Amino acid sequence: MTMLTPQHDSVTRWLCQQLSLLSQQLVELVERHCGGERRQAPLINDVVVLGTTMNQLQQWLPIDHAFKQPLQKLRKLLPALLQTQDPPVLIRLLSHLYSVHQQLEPHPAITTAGHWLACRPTTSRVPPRLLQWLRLQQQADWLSADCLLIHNGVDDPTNEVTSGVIVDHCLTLLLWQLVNDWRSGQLTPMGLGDLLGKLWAMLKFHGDSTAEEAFAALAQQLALICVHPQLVSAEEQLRCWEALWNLLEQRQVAVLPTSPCTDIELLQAVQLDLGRYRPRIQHHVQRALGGTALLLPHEVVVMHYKLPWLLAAAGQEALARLYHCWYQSLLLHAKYKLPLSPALLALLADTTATLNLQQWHALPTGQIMRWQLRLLALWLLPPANTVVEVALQPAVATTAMTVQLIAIPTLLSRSFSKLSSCVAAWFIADDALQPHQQALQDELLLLEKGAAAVKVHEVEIFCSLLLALHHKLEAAPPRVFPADLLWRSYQHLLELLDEAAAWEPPRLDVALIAAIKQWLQHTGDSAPMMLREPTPGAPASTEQLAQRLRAFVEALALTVEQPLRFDIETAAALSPTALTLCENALMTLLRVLVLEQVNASEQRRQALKPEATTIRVLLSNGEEGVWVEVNEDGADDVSGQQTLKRLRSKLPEQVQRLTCRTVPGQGRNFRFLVENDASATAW
Amino acid sequence: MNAAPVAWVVEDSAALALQLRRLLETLGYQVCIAEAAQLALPLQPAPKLVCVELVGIDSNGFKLLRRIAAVHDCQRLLLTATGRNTDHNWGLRAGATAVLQRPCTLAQLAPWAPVLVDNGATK
Repeated sequence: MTMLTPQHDSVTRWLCQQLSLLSQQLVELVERHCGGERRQAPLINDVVVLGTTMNQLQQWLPIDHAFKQPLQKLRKLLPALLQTQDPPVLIRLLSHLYSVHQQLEPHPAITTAGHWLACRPTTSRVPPRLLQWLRLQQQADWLSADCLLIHNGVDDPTNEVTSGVIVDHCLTLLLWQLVNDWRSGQLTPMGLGDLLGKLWAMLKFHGDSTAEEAFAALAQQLALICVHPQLVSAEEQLRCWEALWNLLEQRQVAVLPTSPCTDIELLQAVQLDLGRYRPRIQHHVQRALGGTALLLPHEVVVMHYKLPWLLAAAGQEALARLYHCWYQSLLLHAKYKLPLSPALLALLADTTATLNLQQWHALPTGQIMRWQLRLLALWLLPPANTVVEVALQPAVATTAMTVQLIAIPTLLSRSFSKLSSCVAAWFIADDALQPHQQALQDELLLLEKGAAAVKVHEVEIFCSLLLALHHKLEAAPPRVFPADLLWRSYQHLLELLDEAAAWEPPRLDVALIAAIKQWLQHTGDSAPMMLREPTPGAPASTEQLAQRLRAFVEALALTVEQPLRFDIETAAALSPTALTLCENALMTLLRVLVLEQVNASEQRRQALKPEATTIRVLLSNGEEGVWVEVNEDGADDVSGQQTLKRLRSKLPEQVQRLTCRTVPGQGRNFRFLVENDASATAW
Repeated sequence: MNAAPVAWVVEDSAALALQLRRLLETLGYQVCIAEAAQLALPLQPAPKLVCVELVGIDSNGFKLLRRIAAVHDCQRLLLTATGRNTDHNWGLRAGATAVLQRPCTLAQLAPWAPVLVDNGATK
């Protein structure tokens, strides 16, 4: 780095002194401005006045004076510094300011306590490599090796003082970045691990082992707050930030409280547990590493749920914090059914090997911190959250609600009061069930959609079956009410939900499913069902129309093996002609919809929607004729004009005004009119 | 002389069961410990209080609570370390009297001391 020396005539020397002094004041004012006193008009005015004065003074300097160039840079820099709100940009501009200030006469080391950015490098002693890093630190790949390089690059005999100031400066910048990233809510575990790693490297470089140790505990606590905030109370979180702030800014070391365990009975119990857990975890990890098993079994997650509490009981707080993070990492993989990466498995193997009371004392200093940082670096980025639109009462749009789901337990935190209570107070007959039918179906529908969204297909499949059972009961009440089958089904659903709520893979009762399917196929007038042509003749009443359409859809669904629910509501009596026309039109439309759904089943699966779909038909009399509405919740796309045109050509000519629209959360809605001359409203 | 009321701890970790046993004994309970997988219902001696861990190896706290609630009319505590609302809501639906967050402290368990349970203070 080239040092710029002021000329030696007295006026120039005085000018240089004044400019240097003003530069110092300017830096302090800018720091105050950046450090929380933003938008204070007097402060900004002071900066502007100082800048103007410096500009006036510099005009008296010789034209080739070395101060000219940095002062010109300063003129451009100041407006940007006062205007920017973006912390990374601000950091870069500040680095430039320090660089300019450095070129305006060396100044003794300054420590103005009380400012958040109090410590700065003594300008003449900053190694060029560090300055370069300060300018580019946003892009820098900062490793502890860099610290050593900087250290080696300092030739100044006072480098001990220099390196301390450098470290202070870097720590401040990193802390600032950490706080800002955290506040923005954008800090991922990987990002946190990166920043903590840089901070740790700086402290190691500084060689303050007490501060390093205190930082390791605080960094682990921060990692825990990041990946499992519920575990650390708000007060503890605040204390952690305060301690970190004091450590990095003021060098006040406050070690997190630890309580070494001297309870022999408890330690023996911990050792016993570890002796049970360690070999089991190692066995599963080895299988996964060897490629024998992709996903770690649930018991590995369970053991990592227990381990932090065991380690805390044994007074191993640092390991306990590491294992709290391990549990969250394994849980995340289990939730999304994703295998651990080979690097993560290797890390798990390493950490598991030390689950032994005797080995803890032999762990090298900083080993736990290194594991912690590695774990954060390998953190799984979960897929984007899924927003599921669930209409509890499809007919009333205002009751549609948005549920944001990342897992079944989140869904279960909603109130499923009917599902939970129906097993305890069961209905022995259809009359007892009737008042609860709708509420139960609403809850099942919500659960089915939620389970599909979070890919817990066992719950989804079982909900679909139960819904089919309810539909059958509603449409054609059987001679013998299946009280026992219903009770067993709800009992099993609760078991599945209990398993899902505890993150266990739900296990379907195959025998019960077979029994439900058998009941569905062999109950009612249409059993056993098979695909057939519509019953000859015309429907004589709306009830008969509903019955014939239901049988038609059931047979279609059975043929294409597509789980399908069908509801029909007829508001008034219709003429025989209207009944026939409605039947023909609906059968055509339903056939198209069912076949479309078969083709779109893979798309629905990818869109995290249930496999089963519901078609609802509503017939109502109007002045111009019979209005027919068909709602289908399996698709969200409106049928195109071409499709509608094709569909229109297949419908009877008395069918008019065919439209298709989508209703949020309820899928597609078709509407058409069967004209008056056919409907004969006199009926 | 009246025998001390019985509290059952269903926990498969020896250390965590020991910690809980000590706390409950401080409150005046006679404590029995069982691993979930080996739990035989009805419990003998009959419990005044049962503490069930939500997550266990080969066991599920919600299911256990349902089984115990079907057999015993007693105070049932579900212990969890996950910090999720689900545990609370679903735990209560599964039959828990209360859901406690780990680490369990004496202060947390104090409302379920035998004398308070007898007086119906926890009802």
